Amino acid sequence: MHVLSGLPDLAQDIRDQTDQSRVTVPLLMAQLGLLAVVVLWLVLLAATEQRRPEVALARLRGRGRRGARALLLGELLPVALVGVVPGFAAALLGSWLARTVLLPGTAPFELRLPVLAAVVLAAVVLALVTVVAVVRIAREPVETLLRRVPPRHTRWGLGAADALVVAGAGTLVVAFATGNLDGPIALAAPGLLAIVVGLVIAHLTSPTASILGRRLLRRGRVRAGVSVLDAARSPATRRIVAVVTLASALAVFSADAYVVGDRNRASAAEQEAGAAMVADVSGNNLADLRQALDEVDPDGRKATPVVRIRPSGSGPSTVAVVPDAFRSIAVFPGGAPPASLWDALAVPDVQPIVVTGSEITVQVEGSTLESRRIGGEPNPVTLGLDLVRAGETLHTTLGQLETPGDHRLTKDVSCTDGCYVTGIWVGTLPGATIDGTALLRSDQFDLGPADQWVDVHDRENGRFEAKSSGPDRLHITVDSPGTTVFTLPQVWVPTTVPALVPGSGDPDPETFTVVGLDGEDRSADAVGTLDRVPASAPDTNVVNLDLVERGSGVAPLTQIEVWFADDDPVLLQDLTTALDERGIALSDVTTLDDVRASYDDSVAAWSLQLSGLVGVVSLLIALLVLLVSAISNWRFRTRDLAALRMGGVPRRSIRSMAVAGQLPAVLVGVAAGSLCGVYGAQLALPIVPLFATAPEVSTLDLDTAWAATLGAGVLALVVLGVGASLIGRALARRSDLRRLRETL
Amino acid sequence: MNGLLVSTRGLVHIYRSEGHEVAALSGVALDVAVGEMVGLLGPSGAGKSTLLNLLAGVFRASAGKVFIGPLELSAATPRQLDEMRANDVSLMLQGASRNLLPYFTPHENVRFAQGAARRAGKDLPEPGDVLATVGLEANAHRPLSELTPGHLQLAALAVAMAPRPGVLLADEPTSQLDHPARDLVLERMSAVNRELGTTIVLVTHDPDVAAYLPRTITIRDGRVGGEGRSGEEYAVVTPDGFLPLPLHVREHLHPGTLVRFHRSEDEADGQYVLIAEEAGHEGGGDE
Repeated sequence: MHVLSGLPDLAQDIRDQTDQSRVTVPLLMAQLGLLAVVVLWLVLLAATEQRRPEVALARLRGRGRRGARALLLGELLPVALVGVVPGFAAALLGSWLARTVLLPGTAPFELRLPVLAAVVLAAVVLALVTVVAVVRIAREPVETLLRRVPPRHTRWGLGAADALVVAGAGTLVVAFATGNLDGPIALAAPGLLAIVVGLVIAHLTSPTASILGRRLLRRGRVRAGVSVLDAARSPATRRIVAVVTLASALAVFSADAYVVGDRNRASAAEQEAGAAMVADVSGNNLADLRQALDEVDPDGRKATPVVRIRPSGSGPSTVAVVPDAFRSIAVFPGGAPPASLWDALAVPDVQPIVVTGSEITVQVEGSTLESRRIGGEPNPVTLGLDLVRAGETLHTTLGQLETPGDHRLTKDVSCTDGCYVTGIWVGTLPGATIDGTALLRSDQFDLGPADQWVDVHDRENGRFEAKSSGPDRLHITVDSPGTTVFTLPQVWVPTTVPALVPGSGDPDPETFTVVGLDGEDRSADAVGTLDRVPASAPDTNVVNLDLVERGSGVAPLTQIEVWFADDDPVLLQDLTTALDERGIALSDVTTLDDVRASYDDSVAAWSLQLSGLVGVVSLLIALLVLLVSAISNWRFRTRDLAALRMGGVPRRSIRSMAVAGQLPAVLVGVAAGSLCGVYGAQLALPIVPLFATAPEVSTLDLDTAWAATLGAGVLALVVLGVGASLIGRALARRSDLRRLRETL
Repeated sequence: MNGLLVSTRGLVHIYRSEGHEVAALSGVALDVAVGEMVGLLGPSGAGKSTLLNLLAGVFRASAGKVFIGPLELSAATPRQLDEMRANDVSLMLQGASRNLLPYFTPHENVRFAQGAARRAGKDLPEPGDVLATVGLEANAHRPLSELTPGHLQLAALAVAMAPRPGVLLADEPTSQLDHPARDLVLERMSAVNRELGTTIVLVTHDPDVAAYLPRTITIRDGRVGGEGRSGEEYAVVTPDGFLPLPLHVREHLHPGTLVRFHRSEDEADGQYVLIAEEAGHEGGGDE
């Protein structure tokens, strides 16, 4: 017994999607982790800087470097490690929120080994960073520690640690950008890029601000000059530039990743669905379907037929559409092609020849048509018409012309509802020639004038021409070297079908064919290209349905669909009813929203939604750094401002200076970070899995989402700028003259 | 008596900053006896604080030697310097608050300062007793923010004396105090010097403080420019035979002036008379 089950495929799909999440989630969280480590480092720098007098005293009282280290570690390490507990609790809360809000169904609570390993890793990183920060200050010479004002660098110069970080991170970024780096480290590349740029710009800030500040003072702009010089001498400025650069980069990167992911899912869904709603039609009764559509949507703006014809073997499919309606109803990822492209599919403006009745009579006058076999023996020439009735071609023989002269040919036909005359043909035995002329006319329909017919000249079949002396008669001339059936087509049925071909296609004009409605190849002319045909395979040709329908039946395996401009249940119901009356059923209905939901309900999409959280959290962390930085040196800052007040500077000017002191650093950081975020996204997005399974037709578009990145940059500027301004105002409020007397 | 000898020979210290070199001390020879209390005087920038930091082992001398008891600091390892600062030498920084941990009480500050010495096995008095030595026992457990500037300076003194050092080095210990507080601090420092035998070297440029001290050494242009004992000012002949002239003498003896030393006729007297002559002339001149 052989049991078939979909479970293995389902399990493999889950494993594949889980693997995808192991790229996207670390990619986003690695950036946030980097930011957290950098912020921890900067906070520890600020904290240890504040403890400089204590360290100096410990060293002065003979405790040595080890004693100084112990003093600081005893204070800072427990605080840092205790942070793991609320961090772990926050992670559990986030997990609970994701399970209950984001993920469908009921996801179980899991606490597996990797989670505990992450907790241990976080504790180790916290401890390491704390130890490094403490060692850094504890190993300074006593004389340096005892200085009342720590050494400031107003000239360009990277410290050894910063230079090491810049060199290391820069090497990784370059390796990643040149495609020589993959694996876990590659996931941190955008953050590393921001760290490199942030550190370099941070170290350039002080000397640049010094030059700018002095220049402003020389020009008499005292307030601005003092503010900029104040920023130049403050170590907090460098910290703020570095952190704001990194945070802004993450915010911009996250916004770009989020929007690019969303845009690509939307495009893929549009490409897959084709329209807001698509209904499959059972059977191949195109004529009745179109009648029903005319009934429910007379102007063809809400629903349109789309016919999909696949070749019997391999080769490109054909999609036959009503160009105007299709152009407005179908959804095209990345924008609809121009109207001029669809104009190239236009139907020739000619009238068909219609015959009605149960019998057709054609008079043949002055016929010289004769046929001769290979041996020269004469053979009667058969004359007939091609008639089309309701999409069905009737190859109708009128009779044989056994002698020259006049003939009256009559044939019973089923054309009581009208048939189109699409061709006049002559026939004989295989290999026999046909030549001669004849005048044809009918009392039932006009065969002339001659411009209703397409003369045929080719090497294989010979010549079949039409002339006329009036609209009711046609003079034909045939010269065929050996064709069994030689047809003079009517212009209403084009001999060559204009087609839009795939963008990558470059068909040979001599041999290019498309599959017609009847499943047969038809000569075609490539009149334009389409990058993608909605809801169709990459190698699909698009033709005008009204055109290919002329003179052609519909092959049994042809797939007929109705595409709707909107997800409109009322219209769908009306059409269903109209089709029921004609014995036609709609077999399957797909909406764009359904397809979009299938893309959104994937691990790839859920993972990418983390980027929103990363962006918001990074800005909040940067805001926190501004606050911590202000708190850690508010006494020095307020004392400086109080000294200005003592010097007679008005309160309002002091407030402006306090506010302006931080803003340049924020502005520089946001600008640099935004650029880093844009470039980092370009670097990293190609490795982000955007779909659970790659769509058959790629609509991948990783171009920068400029509106989103600009919005994120502006948001960062507003949040951090307003934060810095409020902090500056708070400092200004506390800068009364009593600060100058403070010693303890 | 637990004081230690302080001695320097040919002490040179050069500051290097952004490509510039400035000689703060250029050949200081100094001896401070065990249990002596000495003031370092001199104008700003003369090198007083630099000398104090060299004695405390905070700075490394560019040349010359510094002895604290038997230990020669320029050859000492960082560990030896730590041990010295833990047990033998205390430095009081200028400004009382710089010597104190702001979130500790005086009692806790003293205990903190004793930590290293205690771990080294040194037998030390309880912090309360140390505070009593400087007369601060009543304020032992009060927050520093509630202490007067004079009491803060006494707390700094107590902290410096916490490990019972052999040498106390004090940088301007009275500079930010009013006269009563200044006198109180000086009195307590003298008491410490007297009762514990601690060698004290303090930097000041307050003439009243200088007058209070039994011995002062004036640092001028990076050298020992003179010495005061019991109110008398002396020029000091350096070990290599140079004699820096006192400022009031230099006002009369312009550069290029030739001088002769004339031994007193009374050889038992052993005094020399300095006879100055104008350059290019013989005979005559100032005595």
